[in-house]
Amino acid sequence: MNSGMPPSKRFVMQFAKVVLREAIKFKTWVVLLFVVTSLVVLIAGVLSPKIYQSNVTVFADQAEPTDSATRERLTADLITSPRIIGQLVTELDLVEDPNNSESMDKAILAVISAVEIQPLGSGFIKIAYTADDSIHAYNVVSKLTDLIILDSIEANRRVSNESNAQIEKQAQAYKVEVQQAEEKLKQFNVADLVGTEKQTKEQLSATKQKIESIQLDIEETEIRITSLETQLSSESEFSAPKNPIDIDPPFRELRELIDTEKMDLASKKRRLKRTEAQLQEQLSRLERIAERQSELDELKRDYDITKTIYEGILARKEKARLSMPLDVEGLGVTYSIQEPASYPNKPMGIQFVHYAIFGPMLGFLLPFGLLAAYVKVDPRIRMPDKLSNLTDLPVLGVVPHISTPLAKRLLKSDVVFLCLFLVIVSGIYLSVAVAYQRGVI
Amino acid sequence: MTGKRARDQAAITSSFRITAPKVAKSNISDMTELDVIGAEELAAKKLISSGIENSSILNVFREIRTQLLQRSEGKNFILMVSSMINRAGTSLIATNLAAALALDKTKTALLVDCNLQNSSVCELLGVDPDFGLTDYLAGNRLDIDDVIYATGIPRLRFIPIGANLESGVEYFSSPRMKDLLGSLKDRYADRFIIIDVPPVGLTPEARILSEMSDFSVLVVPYGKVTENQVIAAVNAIGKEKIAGLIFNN
Repeated sequence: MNSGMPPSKRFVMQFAKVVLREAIKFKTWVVLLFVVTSLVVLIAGVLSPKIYQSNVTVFADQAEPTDSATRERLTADLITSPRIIGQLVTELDLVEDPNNSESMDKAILAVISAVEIQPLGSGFIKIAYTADDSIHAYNVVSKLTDLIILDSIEANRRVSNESNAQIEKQAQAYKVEVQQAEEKLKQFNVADLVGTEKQTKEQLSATKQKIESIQLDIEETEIRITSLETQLSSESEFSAPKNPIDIDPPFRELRELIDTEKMDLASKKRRLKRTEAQLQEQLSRLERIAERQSELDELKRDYDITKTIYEGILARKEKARLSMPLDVEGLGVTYSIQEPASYPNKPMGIQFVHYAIFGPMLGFLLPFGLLAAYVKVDPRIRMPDKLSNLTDLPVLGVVPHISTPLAKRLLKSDVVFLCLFLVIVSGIYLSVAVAYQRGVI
Repeated sequence: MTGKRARDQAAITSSFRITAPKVAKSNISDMTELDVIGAEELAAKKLISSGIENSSILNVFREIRTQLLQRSEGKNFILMVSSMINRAGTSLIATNLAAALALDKTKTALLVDCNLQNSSVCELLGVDPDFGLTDYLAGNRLDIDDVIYATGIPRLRFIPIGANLESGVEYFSSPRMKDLLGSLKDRYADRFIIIDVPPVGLTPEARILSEMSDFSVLVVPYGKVTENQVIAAVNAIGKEKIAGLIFNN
């Protein structure tokens, strides 16, 4: 009797001893229950359906800033879209007849129900697929990833192509305009090589000087003629009325001089007239030159503007060509694989190994648990402590359980037999478990 | 059969199963003893002896003995040993208690088998008696010494149940029984009388015999009786007549 122990510990010790004693008493049942439980659990492990899950993590990126929640939602919508899943079931041969819409719907629904989309935040999305076949699970996830990536690339390319075509069209139009402006400019320059403004202005001033000198000449000539005529008239007052035939010789000489001067004046006047006409012509030419100049400026400006626009378009085109997937308009999402599809080597949840280990454990615990419950529930007295609390009579002694040599021998032979049985069963158990685990069975 | 034949058979000592000689001597030193049975042989029958290998069981009975002697203040006593059910190990415990008392060289023990049915003490002690208690109680033919047998355990004597079992209950309640027990106790001051009695409640013997005893002990077997059965047995005999309980694993 462990009288020195605290009551609770003593109770536990006594209880354990009692359970052990009952276990020895019911040893055959304990062993049988152990064997049956272990085997039942093992069989359950063999029969339990295996579920495999394959998963992939993708990163949804977007050129235009959108919040990651929107991208994740868009991704989930894309993945579960009948278009993508339909493509998937067709390509993986998951549908009997792709032309039958009913069986197609069924196959699509079956796939969608096994797909699990889990947003991990910051644009990362985990896609998982659960199936009773590891290869199938892996194939679906891989294919699904490929499909959404291809789809996003295709969508982006489509948007990109549209905008590129527009740029190309604009570029073509402006190219023509630039060429036209260039041509006009060229023609203009060729036609107006002579008579620049400066030349014309120089000619003009020369002409003006020429006119002034001619006018001075004319004035001098007229003064000379007037003085000569005055001289002539004063001389005729004295000698004129008599007879014209009797003209005095100095008088006649003067007359001739005046005639000469008058002829000279007339020629000078003609020259002036000519030069003035030249001046007029030069003035009008200068006016024309100014007009041409403004026309040229306009052409040049036109050319420059057209050319600048054209160059801008070319630059845009080049930029678009270089960074096509990024320079996308609209809501196209780009996907990249963050974590590639995993091949599920092990089934999900409880695995066969767990069953194989859990079986013997349960097989061990169950009979002892039942015995403990039996001892606890059974009202018959098994512990002397219960007795001492029952009446105020003293417990004079606790006679230990005595085994006679015969009883010991019988127990020993029983135990040996049971151990042998256990060894055989364990051998069978282990071989079945290992064989199944290795896939032999 | 007579005591003569028993004495003849006592010569056959190689066997444990012998008929014990009658004992009627007045003191311990004069007692006729059979050849002492070895400790191993006794242990095989779950009986204690001073030479026993497993001393823990010996100590348990010594401890019980001490407590009983404390209760009787060292005087000899008539102790009834009973239980609530059959096969509780009562006879074995009664025998071992007697043996424990007999370990003391200044004491003798007399074990009285009162099991009209399921008597196992004869077999336990290896005694093949001619007469027993019921034979003695049945008539005046037998002397008390005719039914007291030696056992192979020093200082332990034994009165078997006998063959006259039909009217056992009546015999037990007779004045002759009371006189017998009284004289057995009174004749030798160093003689301790242990009576092995059938279960309380199943038969009336225990109640009758407890009246004739100084006190009783009740054997509570492991995993066989409920608390209510124990309480009922205690109440049937009366708490004041019970020295205590013995839990038998």
